[in-house]
Amino acid sequence: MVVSDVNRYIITLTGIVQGVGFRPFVFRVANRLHLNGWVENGGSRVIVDVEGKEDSIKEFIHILQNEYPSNATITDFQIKSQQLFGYTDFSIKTSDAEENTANFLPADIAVCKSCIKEFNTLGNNRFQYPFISCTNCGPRYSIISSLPYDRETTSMSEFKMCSQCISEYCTPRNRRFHAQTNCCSDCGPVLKLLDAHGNTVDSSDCVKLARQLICRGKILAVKGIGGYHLCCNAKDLTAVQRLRRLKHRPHKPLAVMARNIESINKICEVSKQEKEILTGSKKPILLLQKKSPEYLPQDIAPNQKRLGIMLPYAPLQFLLFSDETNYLVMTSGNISGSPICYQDDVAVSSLSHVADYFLVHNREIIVPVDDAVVKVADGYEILVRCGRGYAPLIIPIEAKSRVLAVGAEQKCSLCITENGYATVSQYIGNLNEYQTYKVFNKQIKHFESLFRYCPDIYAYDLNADYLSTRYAKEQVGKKIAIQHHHAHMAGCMAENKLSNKAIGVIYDGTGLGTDDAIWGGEFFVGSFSGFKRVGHLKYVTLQGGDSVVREPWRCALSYLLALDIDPQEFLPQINLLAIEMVKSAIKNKIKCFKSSSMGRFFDCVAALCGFETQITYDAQAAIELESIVDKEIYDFYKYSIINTEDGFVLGYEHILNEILRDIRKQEQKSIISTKFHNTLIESTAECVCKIREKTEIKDIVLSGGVFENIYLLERLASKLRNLKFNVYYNRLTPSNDGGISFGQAVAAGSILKE
Amino acid sequence: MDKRITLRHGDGGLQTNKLIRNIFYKHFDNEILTGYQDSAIFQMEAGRLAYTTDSFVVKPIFFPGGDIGKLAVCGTVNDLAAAGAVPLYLSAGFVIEEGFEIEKLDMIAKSMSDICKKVGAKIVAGDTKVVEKGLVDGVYINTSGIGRVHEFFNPRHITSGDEIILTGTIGEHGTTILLERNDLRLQGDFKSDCNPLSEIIYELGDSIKYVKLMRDPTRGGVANALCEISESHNIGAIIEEEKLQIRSAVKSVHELLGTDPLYFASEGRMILVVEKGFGTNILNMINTLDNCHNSRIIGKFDKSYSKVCLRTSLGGERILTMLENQMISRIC
Ligand SMILES: [Fe+3]
Ligand SMILES: [Mg+2]
Ligand SMILES: [Zn+2]
Ligand SMILES: [Zn+2]
Repeated sequence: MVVSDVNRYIITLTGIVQGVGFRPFVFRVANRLHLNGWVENGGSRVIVDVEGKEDSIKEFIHILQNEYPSNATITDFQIKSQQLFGYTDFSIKTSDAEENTANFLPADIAVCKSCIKEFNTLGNNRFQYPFISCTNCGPRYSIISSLPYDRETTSMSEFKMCSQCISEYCTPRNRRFHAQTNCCSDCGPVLKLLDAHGNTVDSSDCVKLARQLICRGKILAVKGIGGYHLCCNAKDLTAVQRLRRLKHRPHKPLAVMARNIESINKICEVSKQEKEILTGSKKPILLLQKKSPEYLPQDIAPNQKRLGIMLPYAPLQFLLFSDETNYLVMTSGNISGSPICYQDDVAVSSLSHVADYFLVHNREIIVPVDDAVVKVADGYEILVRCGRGYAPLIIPIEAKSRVLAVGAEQKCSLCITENGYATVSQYIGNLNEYQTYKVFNKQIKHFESLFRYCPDIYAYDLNADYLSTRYAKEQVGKKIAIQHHHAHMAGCMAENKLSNKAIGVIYDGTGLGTDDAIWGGEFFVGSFSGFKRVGHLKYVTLQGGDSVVREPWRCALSYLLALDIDPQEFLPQINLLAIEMVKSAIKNKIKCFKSSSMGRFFDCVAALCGFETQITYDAQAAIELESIVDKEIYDFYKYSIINTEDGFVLGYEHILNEILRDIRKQEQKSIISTKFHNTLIESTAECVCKIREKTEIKDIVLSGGVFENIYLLERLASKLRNLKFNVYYNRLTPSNDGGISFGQAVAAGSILKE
Repeated sequence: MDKRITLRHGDGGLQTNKLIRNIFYKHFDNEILTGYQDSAIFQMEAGRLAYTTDSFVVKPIFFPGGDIGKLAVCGTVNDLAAAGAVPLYLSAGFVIEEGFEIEKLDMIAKSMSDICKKVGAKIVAGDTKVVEKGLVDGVYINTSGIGRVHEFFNPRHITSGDEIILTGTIGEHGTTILLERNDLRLQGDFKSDCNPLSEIIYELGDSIKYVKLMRDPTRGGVANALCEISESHNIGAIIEEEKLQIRSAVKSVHELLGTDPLYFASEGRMILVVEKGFGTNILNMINTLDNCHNSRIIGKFDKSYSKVCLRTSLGGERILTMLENQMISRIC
């Protein structure tokens, strides 16, 4: 061997490298390539000191960069040459406390294939053990109480490892080397079955009993990773209807957990990409196209073409299936509107009128995390609700400041930034509900203690009545209000790494504008730090405050009155008195506001198409309007774009008049819906072309809750691409208000820098 | 006598004098007022006094269940009652628009006098100004009042478990005014709840020592009143929605308009915060009163809450806040 062939390097990898089996991975690769040195874990980074043949080191680096554990995220990779030291072996150094770098919180990971194999192997000491895990899998975020991630800083600290587990934990070549969640049936958490009153049910095999109870049509509350689920046999219509009734959830789709990918294939269309998402390490609820005829009862997702479906991700969940029950309803364990239950006593007291039994365990959940919801649209995986497996989102941003962004009111999330990284929390929910507001407060405290700082800057919405805004205003520190749709735009730009000016099309439900009107059909030209409103959907006067959102007919009525059309003909199911009252209320300006909201325009059209007078879940009318779209129809309605002094206005008069004409002709609702969608696509494209003519900007971001509409998003994106725009939309962060906190943080950080 | 108020009625001369005699002295008749002094002179009582003032502007001036005069006296009487005081002496100042019908003024003065008689108070000082047409809308009234505070009433800090009594239905005054003002014609018996509440102080007697605080939920309604108490005492509360009494006609108006009756004014209701454990006793005492027969314990202050929350029939806990901008919806 020629001496000059041997070299030594220090490699520093930054990112999510903790709790994902990174050091054992490095150790194995180094051993295989006969390299010496050591690897050390420093919280948010791994340091490798490696010595050996240059060729082997090259290969080593290549493997480190390309084959690292799938749950890790590498944001920075640095190599420095060093003087030779003369190591004789490769070792793993134990972790020191975190020094001054960014903090990366690991997400929860679904049980891995190796663990499942053991789980199914008779005779293995973890055969059917519901808490089996290794360095590659198991809960993380939901059980961490402080950083760095170590057994002592999780709720696993309650459980002292047995000698067998300790030896695995200490053996570098073992899959459970430094697996903080390592345990077995001798030393780890245990299950318990309780009846509806919280009394323990005597049983030698409570899992088997639970399985039987599900078969018999019972509803079970099952403690999972981030909280409780309410579970019943999805094929049992009586059980499903009973669950809906008791949970006060008449129409909102219920998530289904299927036994395996084959059972999903039976009921839904699954593409290769979708299969990868379903079987990956995050195991979200994936929205899939239902096959027809429907195999599961209609009541699971009434009036929807899609079904939210997932595979089991906690070992316990595998045990709930039987040959009669290949599909389980697995809906968040909460009562309508309240946050998911995650503490045992609260779960028993608040779910006892729904659940017949409780399947619980004694590992504490520190942070409640709902299941994440994702979908595939336009060829990409798109996050709809940030939850288990995805939370927290860690996104590099430009600003270095310490910002806490408190999000919106509904679908609230938090975002905390430091050292050029944003950490976005899981979906928290509607803050107007006190228990959710408590979770919001708790999550802020948790973030502040994990990151060991109080924010320098609070970013919040312009709407002073949001509870998040109130919270921020009560704090000590610098405060920046970010306009709602600017936050949507900034967040979308930041995740797409756009830092120059872009055109923003923000189609949304409701957000307060700078003129005290409700915005939501907006055309901006802007950057992280600011925006100019260059156009918007024409204002209409809506009456009735929050009831407008709950009762779409109110939108339709307001629009009809704006057009001076007798509403009775088009709203036959609404009684005359109600119409007269709203009419005079508009005349007298009682509880009225100006609105350019695209979400409300959708509600108006949905109501005209005869959709329910009262929605029972968020955006129900608009979702049902999308679900009847016919992709073979390419017609659209006439529309108008009017130039004014401060930008252009997209008029609704022609669109509505033509819709009304179609309704008079008793045109099919699916045709009306499709033509309406197509009209928005055509008119939006024309609007942005006008903006490009003036500004020569080609980058365009589509954001806001309305872009959850897959048909609208896909067709508009492809139309704009054909027009030679660079089209961007939310994929990593939700385009609904779940993404607001990230946008607020980005905008605030950037404003502060300027 | 003239049929309408002219500017001369306010110039301090003969016409003014005539108006005061014919209207105000006639109705408010008592020795202190008519004693030909610029100021009322009366004997001071021993003990604590409460003193308050309020101005009243309401459109329409006459509404189902009352008029501006009744409102002006009840407002001050109820503010005194909230301070644990029974009213003794009131003043009344009128700003009248030129052209206002004298007959109406007479009716207003009569309703003021009626309420005074009912609660045993006297209007002992007054003032009248007339302004040019268009400067005010009909008539504005300012009243102030002095009352004797019950010796056992001791307002003090609210603690966890203290019970909240509301003495009747909610939002009736505000809703009635809303309908009248905007000429919204609706079937149903809409009537302001405007009424004096001094009887509570008389009825409670020594038991008033269990009452820690009283507040009349006028502007901003029950929700705002509770939020104010919660903020100043730094403690949250939990209110049971099913304990709140809402007349069905009122309820249906708010359903139609998308408004929240919890934020609509009452002018004849009181919120009593009663020491933990004494709620039912106090409730049983005041339930027998004319204006309080729909009293309920609607909830309690609770330190495990940091906000005022409304427990709904579905088991949710909705946060009630003082709204910055009532007209704007929060939902996205
Ligand atoms: Fe939004
Ligand atoms: Mg007052
Ligand atoms: Zn594993
Ligand atoms: Zn063990």
